Amino acid sequence: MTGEFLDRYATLDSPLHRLDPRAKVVALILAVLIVSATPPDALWRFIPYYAAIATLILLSSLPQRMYFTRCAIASPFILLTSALPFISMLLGDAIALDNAIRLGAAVALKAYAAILLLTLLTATTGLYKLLWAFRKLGAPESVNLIAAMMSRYIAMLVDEYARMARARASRCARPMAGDVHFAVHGSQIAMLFIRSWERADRIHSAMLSRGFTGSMPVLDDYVFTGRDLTFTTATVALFAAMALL
Amino acid sequence: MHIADGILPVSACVAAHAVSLAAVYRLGRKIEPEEVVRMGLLSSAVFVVSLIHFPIGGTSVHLGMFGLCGILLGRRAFPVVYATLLFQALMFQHGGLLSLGVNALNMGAGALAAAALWKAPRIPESLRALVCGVVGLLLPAILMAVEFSLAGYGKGFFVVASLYTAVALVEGALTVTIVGFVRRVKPAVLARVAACLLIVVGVAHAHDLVATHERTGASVIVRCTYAGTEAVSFAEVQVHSPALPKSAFQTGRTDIKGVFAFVPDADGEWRFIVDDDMGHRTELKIPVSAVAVAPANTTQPLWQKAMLGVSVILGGTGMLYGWKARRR
Repeated sequence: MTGEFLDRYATLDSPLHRLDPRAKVVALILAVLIVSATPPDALWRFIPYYAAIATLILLSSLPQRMYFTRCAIASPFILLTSALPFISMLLGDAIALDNAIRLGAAVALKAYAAILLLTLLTATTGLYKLLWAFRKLGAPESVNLIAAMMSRYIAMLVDEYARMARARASRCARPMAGDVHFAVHGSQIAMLFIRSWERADRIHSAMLSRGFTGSMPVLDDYVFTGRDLTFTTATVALFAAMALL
Repeated sequence: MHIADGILPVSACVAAHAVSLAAVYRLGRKIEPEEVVRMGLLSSAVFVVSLIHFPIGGTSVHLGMFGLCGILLGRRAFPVVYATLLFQALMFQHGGLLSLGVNALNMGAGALAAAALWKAPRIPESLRALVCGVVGLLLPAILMAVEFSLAGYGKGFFVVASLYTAVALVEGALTVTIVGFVRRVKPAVLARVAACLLIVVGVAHAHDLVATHERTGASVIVRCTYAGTEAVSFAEVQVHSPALPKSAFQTGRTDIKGVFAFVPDADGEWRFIVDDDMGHRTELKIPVSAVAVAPANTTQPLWQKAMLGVSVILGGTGMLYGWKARRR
């Protein structure tokens, strides 16, 4: 599941796909940092930001529908956060209407810019290469290890759930009333957990027997070239220049 | 319930990231091999559960399972929450990489509070589980409301946080059901947590389980007892040789009297690990010297050799005469 979702577009070919994952991680996270640091009273600055993001999107050769999907997934919380100043106004907080509008708009613009930039990063790189880049950039060993195990176990959990759901459907299970329904579902979740626990143990043993040392291997042999350095420097410099305008 | 990038001030995000990274380094040190499976599975479970949203009051909320995470992982829950949030930020843009530190501190605080409450003595287990489940979800919501308020968004998020009370109660009830079911079906899962907590706080030796060894000929015999009285029957055993300390030389279980025997093939310090799956575990270092490699017993007494030769000759002769008689 993880691979299917995140690596669906990672095998396309574009200038962004060919870059070293480390270059993309550094450049795009710093770009998010710069956009996030923009004060809410300078909303016009978001026009060049979004122009730069649009250029990167065009360079990536990714289907534009995917960006809308990712933005739509995160929209409920972003729109809720944008509405917070107005909710606070209704609760009696001393926030002027124009300030509330500016604050709400800035929150939405920053959040959507960050989502677009991170989508660029994840969709053009692929899960294992991203984890490899984080490891090379000094991410904590425990996080690398857990992430490597997660990349394997999420698919297993979904698989185990599908098996349980099939077994339940084959026994003509129907929704029950009240606490019985809750107890049945709680027990099913617990059973799913226990079955997954036992299978996870076997998977871990199999991984160890195949030479797993705490991180998933990456087949590509990346060398940080001048092209990667140019992309990182140019992207960060462009966003920094727009912030200082 | 994740704070997206660009919502809180950058300085706050960077400071929170520094603190959460320090916490991940501190609480994620020296992960034992047997902890890897539990941590990986719990992080995957938290990840999958967070994808199930419930519509409430015009917005949507989801379960967190941070309470269960704290119960089953102790303070290892923090690096697990951090890794889960990293995955969510990468895959679904829930939260963001810049605000990852703030989100990890909020939700990690819920998990750590649950871990601390779970260890509270003299409270019935089901009540503890309920409180852990509720606190695991409600504390992050309250922390978020405080952060939004400090960042200048007013008190609006307190209204949203109050919506989480209902979800927290559902999660608490679910945690009670799961813990109760696990206690009935596979209590070792909860017992292992106790062992893990002991390891985490730096107690190197498990309590009560005592193992003693003796040498009998080529074999080493280990007797495992609880405080020298009750036998540790059918407990899992691993034996590691000095030549290959990372691979098990032999695995198995103790017998009904808590006895396990093995035959070492080299001199040096052998490691004997016994784990009863109920939270008791101990490791014994057994010095072995003067291992005699017994030659294979290939010699045969002379009378046996003579008998074998005679029987072969008689058998061959009998077959020959029998074959001739058939031809006539």
